[in-house]
Amino acid sequence: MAGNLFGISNPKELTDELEKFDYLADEGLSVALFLALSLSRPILLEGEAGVGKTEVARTIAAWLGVPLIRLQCYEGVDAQMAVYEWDYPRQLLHLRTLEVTEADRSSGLDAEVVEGELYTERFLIRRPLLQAIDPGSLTKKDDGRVLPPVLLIDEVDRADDEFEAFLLEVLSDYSITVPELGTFLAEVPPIVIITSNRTRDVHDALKRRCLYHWVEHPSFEREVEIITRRAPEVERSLAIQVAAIADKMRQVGLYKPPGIAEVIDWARSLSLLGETKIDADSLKASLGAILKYREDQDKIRSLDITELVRGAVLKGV
Amino acid sequence: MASPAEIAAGFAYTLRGEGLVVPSSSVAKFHEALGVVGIESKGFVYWAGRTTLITKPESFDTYDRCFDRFWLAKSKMVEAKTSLPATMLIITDDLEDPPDTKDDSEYQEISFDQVLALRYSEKEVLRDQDFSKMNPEELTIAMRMIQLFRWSPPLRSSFRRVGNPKGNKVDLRRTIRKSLSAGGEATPLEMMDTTEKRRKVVFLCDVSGSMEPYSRPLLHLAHSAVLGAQRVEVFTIATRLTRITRQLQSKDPERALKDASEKVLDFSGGTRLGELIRSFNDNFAIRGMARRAIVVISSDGWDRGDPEVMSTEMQRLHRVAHKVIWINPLKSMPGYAPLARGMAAALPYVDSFLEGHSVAALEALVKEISK
Repeated sequence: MAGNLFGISNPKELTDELEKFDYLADEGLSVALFLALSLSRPILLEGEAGVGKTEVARTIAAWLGVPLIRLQCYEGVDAQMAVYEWDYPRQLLHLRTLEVTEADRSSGLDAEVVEGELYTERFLIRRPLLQAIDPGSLTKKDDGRVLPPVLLIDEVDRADDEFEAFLLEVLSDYSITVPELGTFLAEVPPIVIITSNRTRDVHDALKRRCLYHWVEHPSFEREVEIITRRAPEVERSLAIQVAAIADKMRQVGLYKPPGIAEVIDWARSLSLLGETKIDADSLKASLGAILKYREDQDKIRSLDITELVRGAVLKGV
Repeated sequence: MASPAEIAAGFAYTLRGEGLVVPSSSVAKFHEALGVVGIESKGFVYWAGRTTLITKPESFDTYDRCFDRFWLAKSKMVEAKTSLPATMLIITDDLEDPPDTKDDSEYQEISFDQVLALRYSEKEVLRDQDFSKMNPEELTIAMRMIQLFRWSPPLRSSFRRVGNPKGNKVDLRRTIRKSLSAGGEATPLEMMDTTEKRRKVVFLCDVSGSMEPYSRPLLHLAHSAVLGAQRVEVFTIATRLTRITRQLQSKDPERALKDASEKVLDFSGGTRLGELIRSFNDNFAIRGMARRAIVVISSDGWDRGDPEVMSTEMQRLHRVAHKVIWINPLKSMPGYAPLARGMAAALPYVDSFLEGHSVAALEALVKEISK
């Protein structure tokens, strides 16, 4: 079974492994990732901004000790940015050098030979997709296992939908053809993690290729755990209050409810400010670390802060 | 005990019975997944199914319901398996529905060309007639006129670059190719520049009771937009916000509207306009759908909610959108003033305010979008 390649035999073991790298996955995410690894399928992660979608890829790469190859999507991303590109300045330079060094020869330059020299791997710039299937990205482990890299295709919804069709082609057989060189075929398919913020629906064809998981905000207990792991300098009592207030913030209907990264930032900020508990003053002073919209900040400021904190403290007890 | 394959197929059948779309490739994935996680742990099976069979969060509730029903009362599964009905094939007529064949109707047997001709005949008057005052035959003709609208949303600059002699960036790829074919000689630089792309158009159609006579023509318009222009999204608003873009993709307008109205469960309910626009903003608009897009809201502005919410949300929408167009059929009435609270709150953030009560008015809307 392919799962053995990664040294795990069930989702629970995967949860434990990721936990060693301070990533706390809930059961759903673990099963989804376990399946992605075992079945060698891409996984599409959707969810609110800041719930740790990108972090999953980092953690898996760190756990396996393999490279993380990241393709950040944006509008207008095209094959040259995603797959490969020729190194034109170097090609030009090479041409000039040939001209200068061989000018005194009587035969001159043979166009075919020169062209052959220019279109070799030496001048090929591998962009993320090609890197991911290139044998050079495979990691050989001491025990003889050969592990593929993690390919993170981040925020695929930002790319134009034509790009998705292209992606689909690469993901269906993990091969890429460079006309001048031939076809690259992945010896071991990369671990593909695709994230989307749902600014538009990803095409069904792509979804059908992938496993799908919706990543939720963490529960209160989990969030406390995440804060204390990611920011060990923060006292546990403070972490509890931070998590409780963040939880509350997500319920009052803000424009941008805080994501985990922001919550951790906020806990760190409070800790740096020398706070061990949250009161009205420290909340006001540090609000910018967790809420990035003026309207949201106003809304939280207008709430009864002592009440908010008392609620948080009670929850912590 | 049923085999895993049968279990997978049976569960998929249950999901389909609840209206979820489950392609057989997903069932195969689920089957594979069960092979990997086993069926001993309820949690693993639950997540394996959700990961492989479901592709959007909207379906989670239905999935949970089906999961409970299927796995927690397994005997039902056998029942479901044995009572599979014969596959029913529904063949729909590609031809458009014939118009009402009342003998006294002067529009009997209207063909497509005849409608075309109608536009320039004495029936021109139909163009300006209010939809709510048309009889069914007139409405049929009006709908066809709407279907004939041509769409071309304006262009905006895109991040993508293509070759262009007047461009401002060197296209090294083409420069090198050219230089090579000239035997490595230095050749003039090839340039490239950014391209242009059609703007997105997002429709928010109010289908609540007060808008009833106007929502149908507008959905027809939206349908022709979905077919005609590439980047269009359509939502209906009534008691809640429903995305119907996909339902409108069917080529046949009647079929499309039927699919869409099946999706919209609240045709002709009341409206909490401000809150629905907030939900649109939170879930779609601000994340990207309305960014640099043309947003068309069609509503009479009757909002039972807080006008404060309306005002804030319209402001947010206006900040990200390229242009906000509001169409309100009541505007065509003589002496109309935007007194409805919701309307008054929204107006400061509307770039153009149109009527949309007749074919001609909808044509004006199309012009405004294409500007």
